[in-house]
Amino acid sequence: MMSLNIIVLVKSVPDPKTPPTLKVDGSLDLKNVKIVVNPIDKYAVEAALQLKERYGGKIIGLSLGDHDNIDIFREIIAMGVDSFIYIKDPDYQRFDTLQKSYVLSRAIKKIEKDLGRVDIVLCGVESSDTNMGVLASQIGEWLEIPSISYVDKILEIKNGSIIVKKIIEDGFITLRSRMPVVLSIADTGYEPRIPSLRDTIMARRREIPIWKTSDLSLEFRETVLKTVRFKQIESKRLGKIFRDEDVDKMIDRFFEELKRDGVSLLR
Amino acid sequence: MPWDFEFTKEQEDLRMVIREFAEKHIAPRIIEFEEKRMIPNEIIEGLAKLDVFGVVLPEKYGGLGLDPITAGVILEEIVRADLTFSLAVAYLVHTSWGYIASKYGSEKFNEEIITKAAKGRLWIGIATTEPQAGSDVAGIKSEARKEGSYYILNGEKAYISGIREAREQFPDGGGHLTLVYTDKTKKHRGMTFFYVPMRSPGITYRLEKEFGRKGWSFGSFAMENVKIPEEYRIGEEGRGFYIAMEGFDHARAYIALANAVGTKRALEIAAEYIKQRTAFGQPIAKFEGVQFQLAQHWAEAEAAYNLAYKALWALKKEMEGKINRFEVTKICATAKYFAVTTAKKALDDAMRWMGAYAYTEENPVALALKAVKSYDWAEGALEIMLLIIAREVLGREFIR
Amino acid sequence: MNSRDVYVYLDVVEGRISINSLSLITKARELAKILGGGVGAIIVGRDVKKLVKDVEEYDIDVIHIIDHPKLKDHDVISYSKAVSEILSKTRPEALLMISTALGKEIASRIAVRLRTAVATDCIDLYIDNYKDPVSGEVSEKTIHCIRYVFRGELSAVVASPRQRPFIATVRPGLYPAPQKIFGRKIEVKEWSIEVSEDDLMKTEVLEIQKIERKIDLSKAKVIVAGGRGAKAEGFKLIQELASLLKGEVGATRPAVDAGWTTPDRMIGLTGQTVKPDIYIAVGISGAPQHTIGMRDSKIIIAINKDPEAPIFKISDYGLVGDLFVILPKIIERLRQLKS
Repeated sequence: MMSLNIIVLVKSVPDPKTPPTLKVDGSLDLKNVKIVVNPIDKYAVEAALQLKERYGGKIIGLSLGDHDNIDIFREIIAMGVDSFIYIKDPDYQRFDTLQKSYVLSRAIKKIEKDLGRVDIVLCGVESSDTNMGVLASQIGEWLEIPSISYVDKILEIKNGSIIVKKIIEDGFITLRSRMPVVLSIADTGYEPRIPSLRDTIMARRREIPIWKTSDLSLEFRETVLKTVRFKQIESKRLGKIFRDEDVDKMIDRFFEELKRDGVSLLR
Repeated sequence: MPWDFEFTKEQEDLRMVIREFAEKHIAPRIIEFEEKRMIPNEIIEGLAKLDVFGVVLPEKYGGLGLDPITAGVILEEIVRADLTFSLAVAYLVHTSWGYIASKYGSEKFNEEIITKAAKGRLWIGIATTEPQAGSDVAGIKSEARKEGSYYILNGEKAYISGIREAREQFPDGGGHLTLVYTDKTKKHRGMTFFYVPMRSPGITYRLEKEFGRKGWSFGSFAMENVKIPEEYRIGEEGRGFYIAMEGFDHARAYIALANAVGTKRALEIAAEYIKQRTAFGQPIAKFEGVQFQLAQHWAEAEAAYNLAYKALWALKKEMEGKINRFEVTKICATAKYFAVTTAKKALDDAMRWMGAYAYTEENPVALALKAVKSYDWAEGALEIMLLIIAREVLGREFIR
Repeated sequence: MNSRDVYVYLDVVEGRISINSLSLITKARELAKILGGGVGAIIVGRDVKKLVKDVEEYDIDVIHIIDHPKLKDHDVISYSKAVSEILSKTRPEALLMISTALGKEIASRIAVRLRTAVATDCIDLYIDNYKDPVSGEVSEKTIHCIRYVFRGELSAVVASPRQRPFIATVRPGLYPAPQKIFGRKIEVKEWSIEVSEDDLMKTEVLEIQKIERKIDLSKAKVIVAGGRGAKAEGFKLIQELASLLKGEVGATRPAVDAGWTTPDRMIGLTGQTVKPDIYIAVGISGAPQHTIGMRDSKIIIAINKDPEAPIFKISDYGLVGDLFVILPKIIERLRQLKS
């Protein structure tokens, strides 16, 4: 039996089901927005769980943020990770990807010291709020280990290497890489399991240690990318919506409107 | 009674588990339940894996040992997704009667049957009604006689849910808590409850083509010299009637909640529809006549919802030994009566607002209306509910 | 010493320079002019020296090239090391790259190596002064990048006021193909690097599965697309309508996953980006992952039975109702108009 030490990185994001709103000055209005686990990260969790089921080992969930709602991570514990660690930094909102990946890589190093070895680091391909998609590569660079992004599925681990199916522009590519490795997982090859009621109850009783960034002996503390402002996507659309129980009447009005606007569907 | 109308964090967590499963796997397929007249196995298995069938069963036997209010939260999410009520029946009957069976059943019965029931490998139903006796429970004819360490059962039970499922759909089968006479001379005190597996030799059955709730089977079974081990007797001889009455209270509380939640959901659907549909150049939602009706039904549905949770709370109190049986019976009957009458009226009107569009086999509101009609009589006829309430308010001596 | 040059990373795809990355040259020149610097190109790989002649006639001032036998495709570690070596010696203002999966991986690693900023999937770049909200300090003529966030529901403007170079990966298809300039002499600088065992990711390519991209939807003038609400039967109607309008059939991810049409017709975040004259969305709810691929269509028409569907918010014309009733009637009406 192999026994893998796996770390899954999970991000807290504003609930994607709630449309984001802006304040007058172009900054995000995050009042009353529910914080949830980045949905794509759950695919990484599922990938980790399947690896553990197949090869044995230990999964540690890890997240960096500034909020206090650690209960959102209990779902990840209920899904089956062995433990979860939350790193809290009050300056988190200002961090860019360089700082976030650096802090997380130092935390991974600390976990590696305790465990002796980390074999795989997983995360979702991108977060639903910033959509950068750089985390896996940057962590790979900080840790000086290989990284592969846009993994559809992990196929096999054998003799210290890992074989994955990766999504590329016009298809798929199967790659073999040495380990340890950082992988970002897409939402195409896995179906995140829904935890049972029992596991949900048990997860409520588990402790989630909170680390402070000051515990991590960080050297690099700069934020280089600044967000100037956000903008609502302007809709210059006409927004002419037709609604009628009488479908024929509705289509009549629709065609009349097209004619009035000089739009011809047929060419 | 300083209520807290909020659910606990744990209850909300559990709610979200079921909601996620229900939105993904149940809601898209409810028309299939009606058309195929069954629940797909994947859904039963999926729910079993989530521990839904063991919610109130004792932890000692593999259940979660949770209280009826929490069980109600889970039922809410099931009903919201399935307005055909088929899954609601599957869940609430198994949950109420499974609890009763575990409470009064022997240690051996619990170890053998309840452990499987908790894992969703076995389904537990209820069989008291007979072709000639429904509300008049004393009029049943089925009987059991003791032979060594077995009982031999004979008789017929009619209008029973879940016979097919208990025989064929669950991996370890299932059975019904069946009420029979062990001593006819003692009348109510001569009835006994038995767990009768539907796969037992001597059982024949037939299924009816039910009007609504088509996803869960409905029919009758006959027992011809069916051998039941004494370990499967639920409670002492002669206690059957009283245990059954207690079980009915549980079932009625869940039924009340299912009807209230179903009504709320149906009103939401109808409201969305009437915002869109026009008559005489305006959306139907703009007509005050409709608005008033909608508001009245909404108010009643909200009241029914809260009353249902009070009934579940009363059951919880009873489990803690802090309330007497009569109080519980009164409030469960009240909750069921109110929720079902509210549901029927509201769904009827909701269907009417939706017009011709609602007159199809694919409109959830129509399917819900067909389903709730069954609660005119299921687990206690409405008239009986009224008699129960009157009896508790006025006193036994006034009831004929 | 930082220069005010803008560099472009030229992707080598199947032995040739990708057209998409060439189109960045135009933008780089536009930015460099304002900054007062020049345009450089970076080509990195194995056996790439011969590609210099394919690039010499574009509006570039210098080509930096690293040709090393150990540089293999998909080895993002060695590629990012190679590019970083050039950038750390030349210190340009910015490096523009095309947002391919591999491009983003290389860009991300360069940013760590050089402790600089990376912004991915930019939809535009411009120059402006940056004022620090806390210190009030102004960085003059700083490159700003606009990119989608919240899966396309908002856009964000980001900048790197201090660190150079600013690495920006740009969505393909935004800028026109570059002009050729004849009779100019471009400086070609060849750099050599050490590639040790530690610098190699040593990833092995075991298999490549290409999706038959028979259809290039980016050229279609009319697209009729189907989503989750369309179902297999709906796609028959969609095909009929598309043929009638001399257009193409498109689809959302869920429709492709369900098998109602082929993957090469997928439009959205992980599919094609299209800008037809007319886009008809049938049974499509309008989730950002899809709309990000078609929101620049000239006219958007949506058919959906849910009046609250987000697609209606970005439509010019919308029809609320059952597509199985509406589509046949529209097809009938159009047939009548035709004859």
